[in-house]
Amino acid sequence: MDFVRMTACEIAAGVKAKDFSALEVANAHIARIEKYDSRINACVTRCFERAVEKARGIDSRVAAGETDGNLPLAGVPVLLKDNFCTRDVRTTCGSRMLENWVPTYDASVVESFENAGAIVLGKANMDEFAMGSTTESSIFGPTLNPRDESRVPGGSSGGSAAGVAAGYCPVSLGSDTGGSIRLPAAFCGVHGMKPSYGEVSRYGIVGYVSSLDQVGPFARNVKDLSLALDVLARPDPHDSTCDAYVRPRFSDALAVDNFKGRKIGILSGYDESSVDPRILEKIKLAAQICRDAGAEVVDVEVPLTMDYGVACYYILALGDASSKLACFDGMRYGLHVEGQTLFDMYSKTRDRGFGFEVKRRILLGTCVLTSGFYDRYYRQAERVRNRIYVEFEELFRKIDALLMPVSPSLAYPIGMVESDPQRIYLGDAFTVPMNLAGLPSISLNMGGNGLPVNIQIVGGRYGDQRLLSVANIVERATEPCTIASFEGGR
Amino acid sequence: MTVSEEQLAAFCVNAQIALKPEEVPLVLGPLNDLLALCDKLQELDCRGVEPFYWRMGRKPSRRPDEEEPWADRDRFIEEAPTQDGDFFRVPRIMAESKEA
Repeated sequence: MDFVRMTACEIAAGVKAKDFSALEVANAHIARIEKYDSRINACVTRCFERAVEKARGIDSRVAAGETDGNLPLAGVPVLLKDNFCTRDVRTTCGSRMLENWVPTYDASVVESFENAGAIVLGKANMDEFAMGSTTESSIFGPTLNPRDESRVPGGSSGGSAAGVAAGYCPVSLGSDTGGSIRLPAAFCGVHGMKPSYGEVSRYGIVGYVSSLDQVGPFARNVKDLSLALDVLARPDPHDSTCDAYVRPRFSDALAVDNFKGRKIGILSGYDESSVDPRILEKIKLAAQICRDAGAEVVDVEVPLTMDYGVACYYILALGDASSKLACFDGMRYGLHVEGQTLFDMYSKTRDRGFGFEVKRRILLGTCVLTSGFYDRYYRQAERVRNRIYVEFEELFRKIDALLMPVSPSLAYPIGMVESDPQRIYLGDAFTVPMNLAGLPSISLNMGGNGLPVNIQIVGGRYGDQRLLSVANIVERATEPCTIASFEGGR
Repeated sequence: MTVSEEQLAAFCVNAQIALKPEEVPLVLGPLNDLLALCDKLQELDCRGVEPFYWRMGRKPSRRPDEEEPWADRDRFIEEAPTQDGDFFRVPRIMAESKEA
């Protein structure tokens, strides 16, 4: 059986029906990682022995007659971004600061996934402390895009996206502060979802910006995204920002087969000449699919967001990150470098532990929090964020979902981050607003004859289930998302 | 607004980040570019607008305010880069008194 091409739903169903074992599935995916990861460097810590043991455990539970409801992810191999705390498995955030750090507990979402039967194969590469959009700044070296190894996989969850595209696993997990799930999904040609803020616990995630971060899944089909969200989205008493309401069954979204009475917006009012025409073409295709399914499609604008979103995001994100990363002081955990005085020790530890991009962002953040700059930048950005939130609230009173680009461009060549950081910052213009407003958003692969082309579908806050129904109908009318061939083709 | 090298040096002290001389322009350039980009936020009239805070959609998760002992005390101590028996060892933060 060709396990590496199977969906998560097929694997879980097959394992529970005893058509094949979780161990066979794990071994097939482990073999794929062993064969190809020396080329793309997506999996930075391998947990194969532990995975084999866990797979045997799932097979025993199935043999003992455990019911479907207990193991929705029975035997499904997964990769976790390396900022998810994993008990007894090192968690580095791609940084020398945490190079040898082994957490004493699992993040809540890791616990949920493993309790549901998922098999963790390893930890996925990422930009150091999630600060980047190319997965080039990790201490483990860059991850390459499995669809075209001369290009970046996007970031910061680049290893998680590349792993799903490469056939290492049908589902992986990442985190998204300003596009870190959706951009790599687009560059690697898979689907990625950032749920609503408050939908999924962040307990045990080494965060970047608390008011923006969200955990979400990657997959090669919408059904698997829904399955993963059903497991991930639940109240967590350890994360007070995680809503305690009883979630709907997100997989029920797949039963929706028409959009009669629904209104879908297409984002307009931005400079379309700055966006790759292949992306615009796929947005038009998605709009037509929505029309054919009975929706009314209208052009909409969010002028304030498009004009001020990126500036607002960078001030708030960098300011918060500079505070958050103050905890890496060489005393409680992680790297420690001796110094003559307390401050000498801090400085030496942080100098050796952080890469240059992280240091640069901490200093930018320190600046906007400094007296004399704070009111002009940080305080004003908080007010602008309020206006952006309200702009989207008003928009989603009129429409059910919004179609727009994920990024202005397709996957760019390796090394571009060095030459043009400003362009990469501005490449975030279509993703950061959803974090500022806490909206659910899916980066949906729409095929592409050369490099993959994704579009972004955005829903109103807590409209995750409805958003999945839109993505599901659009997906049905487009090319299926396959794994990378590694044989010269894509 | 723009930032000078002297101001950047003060930020380095606050952030406990040491920069090599060749790194200074690589931080100062993007920092001033970012501030120029962000100066446009001043165009917006935000008088009367509250700073943003999260409105939880439904209700936040809560847990009882009860002691929750962790089983792995020894492992936490082991995590510390420098330890002394049952304690994290940290550098002295005040100078030793000469009279003591």
